[in-house]
Parts: sequence; C-alpha cells; structure tokens
Amino acid sequence: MTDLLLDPSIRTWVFLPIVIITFMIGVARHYVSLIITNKKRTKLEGVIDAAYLLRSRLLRENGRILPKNSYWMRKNSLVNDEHGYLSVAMNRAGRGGAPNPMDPETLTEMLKGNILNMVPMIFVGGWINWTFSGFVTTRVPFPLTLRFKPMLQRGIDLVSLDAAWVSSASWYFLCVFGLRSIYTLVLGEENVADQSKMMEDQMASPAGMAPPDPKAAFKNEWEALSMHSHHFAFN
Amino acid sequence: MVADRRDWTTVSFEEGREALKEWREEHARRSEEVVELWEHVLSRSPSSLADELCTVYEQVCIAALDCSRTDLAHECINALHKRFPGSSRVLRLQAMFYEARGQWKTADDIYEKLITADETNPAYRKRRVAMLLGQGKRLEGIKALVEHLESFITDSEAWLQLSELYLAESDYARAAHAMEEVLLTAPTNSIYLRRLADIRYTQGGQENVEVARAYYEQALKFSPVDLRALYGIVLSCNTLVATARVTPDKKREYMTAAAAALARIQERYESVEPEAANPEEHSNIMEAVRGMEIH
Repeated sequence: MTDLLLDPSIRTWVFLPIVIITFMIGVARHYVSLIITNKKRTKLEGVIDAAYLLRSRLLRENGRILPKNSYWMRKNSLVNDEHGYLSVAMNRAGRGGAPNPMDPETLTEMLKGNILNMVPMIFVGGWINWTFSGFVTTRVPFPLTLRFKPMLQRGIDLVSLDAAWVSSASWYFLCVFGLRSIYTLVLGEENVADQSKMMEDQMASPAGMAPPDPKAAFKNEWEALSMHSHHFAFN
Repeated sequence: MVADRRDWTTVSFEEGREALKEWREEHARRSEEVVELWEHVLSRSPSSLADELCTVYEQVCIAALDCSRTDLAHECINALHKRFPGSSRVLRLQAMFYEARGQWKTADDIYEKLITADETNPAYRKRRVAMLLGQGKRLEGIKALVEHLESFITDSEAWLQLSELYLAESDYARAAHAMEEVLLTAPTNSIYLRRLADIRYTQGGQENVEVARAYYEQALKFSPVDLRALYGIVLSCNTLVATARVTPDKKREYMTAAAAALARIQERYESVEPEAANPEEHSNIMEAVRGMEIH
C-alpha cells in the first residue's frame, strides 16, 4: 500500500495556524480573565471563624499538655451552651450557611467563569471546525487500532484511512489539551489559559463547587470537642 | 547560617545577593549587615537585581529604619513608590518610616486607613501594637494586642508577645494563659515549655509548682542539655518537699527526682569544665550545687 502524501500547504495553512490560534486564544483568555475577574475579598468574619476552628482542633490535638484547669477553661469558652464560640456559631443564622446562589455577586462570578469557559470552547472550536474542516493534517508516529478513529479523525469519515492519521478538528482538540506545559512556560504557574484544567476542576466537584458549609464545620468541631476527654500528659 | 561577623563590604555581587535572599527567607534580623551590604555592594548596580529588586528595596528599607538610617529608607520608599503608586505594602513602609521618626500620629493614621481598606491583614494591627510598645505605652499595647487576638486567635507570635507584656506587669496568671496558647501551637518546643514552667513556678502554690515540675521534666526530655530546666526541677522539687500537704511517698519521689537532677547538673559541669582547669572555681560551683540538696 502506498503511503499517503500530504500537500505542504496543508502544513502551512492548516496545521500551523491551528496551533498558533489555539495558543493565542489561551494567552488572550489569561489576560481577559485577569481583567474581568476581581479578587475574591475575604471577610473578617471568615478569618475569625477559621481561626476559631483551628484553635479548637489544636486544643483537641495538643490539649493534653495543658493542666486540667487550663484545658477546661478553653474548652468551656468554645463549647459552652450559652456563649461558647462554637455553640453560638453553630446556631447562627444569616452569615453562616451556604452562600445564596441567587446573590448577584455570586451570579456575576459564575457568569464570568462561564463566558471565559464557553466562548472559546463553542465559538472558536466551531469556527475552527468550519474553516479547517476536512483536512488530514498529520499522522501520529505509531500504529493505532480502529477504535481511535472517531477520536483522531473527527470530521472525516473514510473507512479505508489508517487510524494513525489525524484530522484538523481532532488536531485542534489535541492542541487544546496539550498546550498546558507551554502555557506554564510562557505565562507562569498560575495561569488560566488552560481549558483542560478548568474542565478537570469541574469534574472533580460534581456538586457544582459548593463551598463547604461553615455551619456544618462548626457542628462537626463542636461535636468532636465535646466528646474529647482530657488527660494531663505529664502527670 | 553564618554565625561569625564577616566583612560584608568586600563580598562579590552574587554573594551579597545570595546572603540577602537567605536572610529574607528566614526572617533574620541582621539589619546592620543588610544596610552595609546594600550600600557597599548591591547599590552599585540595582538594575541587575531584576525581579528581586523590589523585595530587596523593601528589605533594605526595613533594615535601614532599624538602624535609624532614615535617608536610606526614604530612598527605598521613593523608588518603590514610583514603581507601585498606591500600593498598600509601600504605604505600610511609609508608616513605618514615620514610626521610626517618632511621628506617631501620622503613622497611626496611615495604619488606620490600611486596616479599614483590608481588615483581614493582621500585619497592620500588629504594627499598631508595636508602635504603642515603642512609645512605652505598655497597658495600651496590651489592650490593642488583646483586641487583635480576639480576631486572630491562633496568632502565636502575638500570644508570645502578650505573655511577655503580662510578665512585665507581673500578671503571672494571664502570662501563663498566653504562654499556654503559644504552647498549644508548638507542643514540643522546649524553650516554651521551660518558659511556662518558669511562670508557673513563680506563681507559687503547690498545684502550680507541681505543674511547673512536670513542664520542666518535659522540657528536659526535648532538650537534654537544658541546664536551666535541671535547676528548675531541683528548685520546684525542693519547694514541694517543703510544702506541708505532701504525702511521705510523694516527698520521697520529689527528693529522688531532685537528687537525680542535681547529679546531672554536676555531671554537666564536670564535662564542660573539668576540675583541673580551674580547681578553685570548680569546687565553689560544686559546693553551691551540693548546697541545694535537701536531706
């Protein structure tokens, strides 16, 4: 069987442009996101709550180095029924509880994230598919089984074509997922250019990235500390 | 870490840069050396520091304020201000500059502004406390520090400072409380353990001295060469033996513990300074140590 020979202008006008466009769009995404996302402002209450949770945990872990009096004083200040910090925080309404999804601030954040995510994915992907459709662009240097055909040869339905050949649409997707290390090289570690990372993040939290409920954290900590028994370690 | 004092005026550029970086990372307070290094070595070509330049400026600025070289600090702040106009980090340096010149009111106003702008940053509040202490207003400093700790309850640096302040006020119970907080975050630190034991011992009373002894023992476990902890054991055991409400069993236990500690103290003196070196002083020390024993 004679080998397929590709027109050199496919390399110049299809193969390379796809790489460059994908890369440029990633870089543009990075800078656009720098402009439109504002820094998350932490609230003082959040910091205080975190500090109290940490202290309660420390008390459980290292409480045995304190004499009885000191331990109970601290424990009482945290889990006392009436004004212990944890007990109060546990039953606190309002600022505790999961953030309201209808809150306009959260909504805009979500919208921004979606725009950054979806626009390149749908429009650029679609545009590339439309402009560069139907080209066989390159070949992977190893033989592949037929099952790889739909992955590597999107947009070309040729039964007789060897599975190692890659179509232009598939090449675009390979670039999207494969440019991560190059972005790291160009933009530094903390870049948002990489779409694949964002997708992984979304996969990782199927619940839709709901931040942990502070009330539940307080309740857990309250229970743990209430159950904790104390022995002075150095007696 | 280099313990000896080198002549930093003659080192090479690269070496100086490395040294500054090292100190910056371990938060070493070697202000005079930093200023020296900057003036003699690095300031010759600041631009070759490239990305590091701004952090170096910040470091040199703080060091210069430490040595009351306000001229140099002013230079650094100006350079940084040009690069980052309106940055709160530069503003903080500016406030520290006023602090160093004793213009407390101006500095305090700046910190006030910074705290309202970013209330979650503990550094500004701590600077305010430091400022009050710098003016010698200890009680107000304690008040401000307690207020700071209400929000940042796990800040062990602040607890340590609070403990020291209470000690200066001879409020041993509160000092002990603050020290216990420090210890909660670093339960194996023998210096903190010993400090708490010292406070407990000073508080007095059978219960406190018993706890003090326990802490001294623990401190000794983590740092077996701690002579001070050994002395602490001897002293607290002696105190306990003299207390009225102690069972004979306990009494015996304390006496053996004290004797064991004394033996270790003697051993340590022998190893550090053998008898032959200075017989008279040696016998004096041994005499004093043996004098602590209770029969």
